[in-house]
Order: sequence, then structure tokens, then C-alpha cells
Amino acid sequence: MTARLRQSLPAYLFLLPWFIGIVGLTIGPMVLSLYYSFTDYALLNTPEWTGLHNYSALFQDPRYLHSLRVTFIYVGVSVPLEMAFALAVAVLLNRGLKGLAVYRALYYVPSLLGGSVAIALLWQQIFGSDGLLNDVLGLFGIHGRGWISEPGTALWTLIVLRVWQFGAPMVIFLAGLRQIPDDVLEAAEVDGAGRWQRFWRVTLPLLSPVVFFNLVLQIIGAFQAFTPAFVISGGKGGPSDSTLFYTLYLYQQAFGNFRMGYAAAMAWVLLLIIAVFTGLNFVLGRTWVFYGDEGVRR
Amino acid sequence: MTRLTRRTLLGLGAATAAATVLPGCSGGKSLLRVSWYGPDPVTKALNTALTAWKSSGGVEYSAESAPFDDYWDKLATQTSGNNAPDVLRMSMSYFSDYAGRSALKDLSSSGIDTSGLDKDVAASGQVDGKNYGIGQSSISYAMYVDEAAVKRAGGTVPAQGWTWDKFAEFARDYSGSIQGSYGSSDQAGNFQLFEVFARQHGTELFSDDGGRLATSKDTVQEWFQYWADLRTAKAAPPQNVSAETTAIEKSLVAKGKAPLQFGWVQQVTFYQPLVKSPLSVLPVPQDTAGDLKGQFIKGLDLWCISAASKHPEDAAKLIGFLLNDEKAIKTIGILLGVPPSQKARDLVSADAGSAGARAIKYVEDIAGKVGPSPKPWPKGYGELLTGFGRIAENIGFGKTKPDAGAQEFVDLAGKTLGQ
Repeated sequence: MTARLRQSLPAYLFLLPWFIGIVGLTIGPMVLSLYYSFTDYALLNTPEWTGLHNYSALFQDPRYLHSLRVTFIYVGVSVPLEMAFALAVAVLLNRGLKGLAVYRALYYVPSLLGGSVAIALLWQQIFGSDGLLNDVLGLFGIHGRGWISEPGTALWTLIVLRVWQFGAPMVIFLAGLRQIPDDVLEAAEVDGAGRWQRFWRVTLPLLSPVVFFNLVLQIIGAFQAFTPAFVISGGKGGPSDSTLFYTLYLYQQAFGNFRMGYAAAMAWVLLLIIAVFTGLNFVLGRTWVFYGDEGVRR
Repeated sequence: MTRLTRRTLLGLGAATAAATVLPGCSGGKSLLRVSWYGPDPVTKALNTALTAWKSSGGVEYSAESAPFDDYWDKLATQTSGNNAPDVLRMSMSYFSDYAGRSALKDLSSSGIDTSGLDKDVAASGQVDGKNYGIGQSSISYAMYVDEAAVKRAGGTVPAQGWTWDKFAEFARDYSGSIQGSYGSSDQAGNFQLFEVFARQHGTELFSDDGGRLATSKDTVQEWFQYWADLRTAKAAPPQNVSAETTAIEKSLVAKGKAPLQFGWVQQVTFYQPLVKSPLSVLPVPQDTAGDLKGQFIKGLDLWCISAASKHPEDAAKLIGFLLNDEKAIKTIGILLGVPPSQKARDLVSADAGSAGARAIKYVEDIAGKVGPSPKPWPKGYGELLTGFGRIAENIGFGKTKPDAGAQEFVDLAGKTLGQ
């Protein structure tokens, strides 16, 4: 053993748990899953190599295409709404309100509970046909419906659930708003900019890196949404497949129908979709994300 | 105080790592894992039975239980990870998937005492000359009727059976007798009731080798159409109402909104506590009134030992205990189905007037009149079971028509069976 190795050995030993973790829990399973995606693997017997068959079968599977559509609607509608909500509340909370800390905590709580089963169950209670929402509507003489038991509305209750959990991006927006120097806003005010103008012309451009960061994270998160749909639909993606999220269908194929190879292929396609969206974000981001130091360079 | 050197710290770390990697080896004592599915009453009863097993000298055990749907996700994961429980409750819905993929142990020479068991039930786990499971109960499909509610509405349900036409007539007449009530719950998505319907139409549901659907597209279509007509006539509830009746306590019969419910015979004991008046247990409607050939009696739930079990002897002893011990029999009652031995049935039906006693009497009454039992359900049955329900739901919500739905199901069966 060389002296140098002896010296660095303790460091490697301390790093060992991390290495075991990344290889055993992340890299290993990923390599295996890539292999499985090229096989017919019924979970209880040994995988059989089938080449690209799983991938080509995916795009002839109407339920798969349907799950893609449901997921795109979910991402496309819930992320912008959630972002808008988070930003609006962050701007409100950024003002010197009394008891500000309490409000911040309160608004943040839903996202802490975010993926939890309890919240999804609560949602079931609220949007059921004899649930809270219909009770409230009843006070105004409106006859409600079974919001989560009808295919026309079930997905929307899940979108509302996501928007309601705007706390995490909001806290990041708040931090971003705190970074905007007061003197810039004051200068704008002196120049005669109104409240809206200051927001659109000063605050928002200066905040754009934070908006970008939140957007990337929220899109990735929304594509991976699973728990609420699983709990609310009892794992079925119903009613009538209206909440059949991508990840839910993947789960059904893997553990319900013993098609681990097919599910692995789905997972890799999802990875690709998320990569494309994230890449697109970065490309488009160049046109609207403004970093402070660019101003100095100009 | 001993000084904590780097070396002892590393040693400590290594020991902790070893301990976390080898949790099973800590005591060196056998720990038998037992798992089952079912609602709360089943779990309570089996826990009590296991306590009795322990106090009569059985080995240490750990119990796992889950609702039916979740159970299979978990078991598939455990089995593929070589970590399946030793003793497990197995449904005929998934039996072929597991037995056909060598996940279960052959019990032929396990020494489990099956001498008192009914022959059909004892043999229900046999595949290719091997015995992969032992029937824990015999069950049959049934209809539970809240006769008091029917009487109040001025109707009658014939105890000897009726045709599907008469049933539809009854359902139409009953509906609305109480505000928001329906003559029947919607059974369009009930694959198990459909099996009876298919047999009434002259064929088994599956071919003998399980490789294809034996019933025709026309029969599937007729079934979907039948329930669509009942929904149109408001004799069965609209789909959005049915969509909320998945749990037993939310069922229409429990809420007093329908006078009857369908299910496996033992499930009457899950519904009975939620309904005020006694539920009678009757045959399901027939093609020709009184002809019960469509129905069958069969062991549909089995006790199995996983192929990877390290304690097969103890596992076999436990299964023998659950089947033959008096205390176990009495605690389990008919929660798993009608007990598979005469001795057990006598012990359980001693409590006359209970829903359990009525269920047992029902099975004894129809025993000579039903048709032959079908073969074990084929590989892929679980997928067809959920697929049938999903297609029925799509029809109920008007997203597809009965004929297109029937075609979709036939295609699904073609793709899924014999894989």
C-alpha cells in the first residue's frame, strides 16, 4: 500500500456508504431497468430478450396513448396555474403584513403534506357526491355532483389539488422577491412607473431566473405525479380512465399485470419526455430569463 | 471512559452495516411469515386464530395483511424479490399466475391433514398432477336480499330462482319505491357474475387449457346491453352513482337504496352488520327459472406455501392448524368462505340464525343442483377481471357502446390469455 493510498483510505471509507447507495440504489437499478425494457419480464420468471418490441408496442397501445394525453393535460394546466398562484401569493406576502410568518407557514403547509395519502383521502371526502364542496354549493341552492366519480371532472379535482399545493414554489418566489433591490423599484417609481408597470417591467424580469427554476422543477414534478391519482381512484385511474396518469399506468402494468419489461420501457420513455421538456425549457429560457449581470455587460 | 478511537468507530460502523444487511439472521430462530388479503373482519379473525396457534405450541410468526387489490401488488414485488411470505392466502384469480411460474411449493408430500376436507375443495389447487394449494373454503356466487325492504315495496323475490327477465321486471318495479332507490345495483362490471351468465349460455368462460375465451362476443354484448337497458330504465343506478359504491359500507344495500346485492356467499357476513333486517342468501337469476347449472361450487381461495420458504414444515403445520383446529375453525367462521369440511360446517352453523349459518345452508341447498366447477382460472385472469370492469364503466359513462365494448373485451382476452 503506498503512503498516498494509506492517507486517503479513511476518506474512501467514509465515502463508501454513499458509493454503495448510488451504485446499489440508483445506478444499478437504472442499468437493470434499461435491460428489462428490452425483455419480456413477467416478474416471477427470468426475463427474455425481445429487443425493441416493448417500445414499439407502447405506441400501439391505446391506453398508453390515453395515459400520455391525461398526463399532458395535467402538466399543461396545473403547472401554469400553480406558478401563477404561487407568484401572486408570494407578492402579497412580501409586503409588510402583520403576522407574516404565520401566513407564510400556513400557505406552505399544504405542500409539506403534498404527496401524502392523507391529503388525497381528504380530497376524496371534499369532492365526493356527499362531500364538503357539495354541502357548500347546497347553501347557494346549487345541486352538486360526484366530482371525483365522473370522468368529466375527476382530473380537474386533481389539478385543483396540485394548484392548492403551491407552497414550495411560493417560498422560492418569496426568497427571489427579497433579492430585488429596493432602490431599483424606487428609481422606477420616481420615474413615474405605476404599481403594475413596476411589477411587469422591473420585478418580473429581475425575478425571471427564479421563475425559470420553479418552472423546470414543477414540470418535472408534475410529470411524475402518482400518489393523488392512485389514492383517489383506488389505483385504477378511474372513473373511466380519466385520471390514468402515466406513472399510474406504468405501475399497473408492472405490478398488476406482471409486465415489468413493458413498464421499464415506459419509464425510459418518460425519462426521455422529461429530458426533452427540460431541454426545451433551457433553450426557450434564453429568450426570457434575465440575469442581473447581463445588464452590467451591456 | 474508553476513548473512542478511529478504529473502534470503524469497527462499530462495520458491525452496524452487517446488522442492517442481515436482519433475518439476528436471532437464528425461525420466524414464520403469514400473509392474507381481506377486509377488517378477516384480519381480526385470522389474528385471533394465529394467537391460538402460538399458544398451542406453534412457532413465532409475523402477520401481514392488505386489502385485496393492494395485496397482489405487494405479493408480486415480494415474490420477484425472493422475499415472499411463507404461508400465503392465494386467490384463484392469481393462482395460475403464481403456480404456473413456479412461485409456489408442491404440497403433495407436505403432510397437511386434508382427510376431512371435501374432495373438490381439497383438489382445487392441483395443476399438472402437483398440488400447489389447499382450499380453505368452498364458495359459490349468491344474491343477498333485504326481504323486509322488498316486502315494504310490495314485491317478492322467489326463493327458488327466477329468470333474468323477471329480475329486470322486479328491478324496474322496485325502483323509486323509496326516493332515490334502485331495484338492483349495477353489476355490468362484475366479471364473476358474468361467468355464471356465460355458463347459462352454454359455454364455460375459458377454454379447458385456459388459452382462449370460450364464451362468445355476442354473450358479452348481451350482458353489457342487459345492464345498459336497466340503467336506461332507471332500474339500476347511473354510472356516477355506481362509481362511488366501491366500498362495502358505501354499497346501495348498506345505504338502504337497493334491496339486493351480489357477491361470493361468505361476503353476506360483511354486509349483514350494515343492514338492519336479515339478508337472505339466494341463487342469482337464471336463463331458465330454477335451473342452477350456470352456478358452481368451488374452492376459490387457497392456502399456499411460497417456493422460496425456508420453513416449509412449520408452514405446513400452520395450514393444517387453520384447517382442522377447532378454535381456528370457530374464529374464522365463514369469513373466508364456507368451511371445507363437514366438521367445520357443523361447528360454525351451530350459531343458527347468523348470516354465516344462512350462507352454509345456501351452499348445502344448491350443492346437488349446480353445474360442474370450471378449471382454475387461467394466467392473466387478474388483468381480465379489471379490464372487464373498466370496459363496463366506459359503457356506463356513455364513452363506448355495448357492442364495441364487447369487441374490446374479446380483443383484450385474445391478447392476455395464453401468454
